[in-house]
Amino acid sequence: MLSLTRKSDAQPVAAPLWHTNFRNFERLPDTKVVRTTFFINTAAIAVTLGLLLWLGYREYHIYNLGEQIAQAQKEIDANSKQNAEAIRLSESFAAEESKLNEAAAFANARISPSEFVMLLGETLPKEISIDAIDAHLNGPTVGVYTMRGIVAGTPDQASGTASNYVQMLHDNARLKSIFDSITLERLNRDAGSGFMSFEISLKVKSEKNGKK
Amino acid sequence: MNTADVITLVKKQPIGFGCGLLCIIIAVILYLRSDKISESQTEYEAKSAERSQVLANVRNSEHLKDQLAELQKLSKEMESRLIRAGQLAINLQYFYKLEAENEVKLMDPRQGALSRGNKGPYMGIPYSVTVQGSYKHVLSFLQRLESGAHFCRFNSVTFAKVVGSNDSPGDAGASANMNLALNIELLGTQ
Repeated sequence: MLSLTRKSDAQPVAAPLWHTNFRNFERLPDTKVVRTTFFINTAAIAVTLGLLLWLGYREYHIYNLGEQIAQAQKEIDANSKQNAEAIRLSESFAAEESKLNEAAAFANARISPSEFVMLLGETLPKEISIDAIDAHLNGPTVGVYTMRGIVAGTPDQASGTASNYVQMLHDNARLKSIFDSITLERLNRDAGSGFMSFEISLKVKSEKNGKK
Repeated sequence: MNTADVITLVKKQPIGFGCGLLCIIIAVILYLRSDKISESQTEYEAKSAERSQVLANVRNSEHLKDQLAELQKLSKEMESRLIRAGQLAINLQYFYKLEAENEVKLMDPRQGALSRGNKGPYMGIPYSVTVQGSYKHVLSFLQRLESGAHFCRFNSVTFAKVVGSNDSPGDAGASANMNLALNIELLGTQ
């Protein structure tokens, strides 16, 4: 029977080796232009050197910090005696200072009663007579001053005079710096004297308002 | 791959294997000492701050001894102005002395009860005092009390004309008879 396939389509005939290949490729020398070992060694040495440098840098940094710590400790030790003395003196100073501050704060008042009385005396109009001044104080920034007195003139004139007097107290720079409010609390006819009697209260500025 | 193969491989790449071994050792060291820098840094910062504090203390205390001596002198002077709560007669003598110096009439000065719960080393010792006299003398008494030998704090002040004295508006009032009622505290100790 004739074959239908062409000759060219047929499997090439494997030519039998003419002798046995005895070469051991693993043991043969590397005949490349640059040997693989060179790359392996270069990479290994580079990585190792990099790690060594990193380790060296870190160790040097640690050593350096250790040196600085030792230097700082040396300075601390050298000054420890003076430091202890300075702390002792400072504590004594703070204790003495607190005593003086307590004494200063004790008698501290925005306005002394005598200054208040004298201020009123200096600004008092001739139509007004003050009968009494009351001060209720609770610390330098809590307190109310009250003054009571009489005003000369007809009720109409007296009310005007009293109102002007309150305004004058308001306008007084010293009083304005100390008192929050100055209020005419009462103005009525005094049965005994026939004059108009009044009551004015002055409230000391609180700490918060006083610092404005 | 058996041991012989490994040995052959090591013999073939001795530098590579040596470096690899060294890398492993370095990596172990780096791992074991990984916290050392941050620990040393923290310790250094603490020591540095301590050193700065110590040096600042020493530097700032250069004149502290003299300043403290000055302050102690002031403190001693201040303490000489304090009263002792137990020395009633001596304390009242202060008011009688002011009475004599200012030509006013002192009415029954009284030492009040001491307040409890005082935090500081000193305390306010309360007194109630009433004086009578002319406006000028009473005001002088008040001023002497404010700037006197002892530290004085005013709790309440009532300054009033004595009933029946000259009280018409327009009068200067310097000669009017005045009554001054005070609730005060003098700074002192037990």
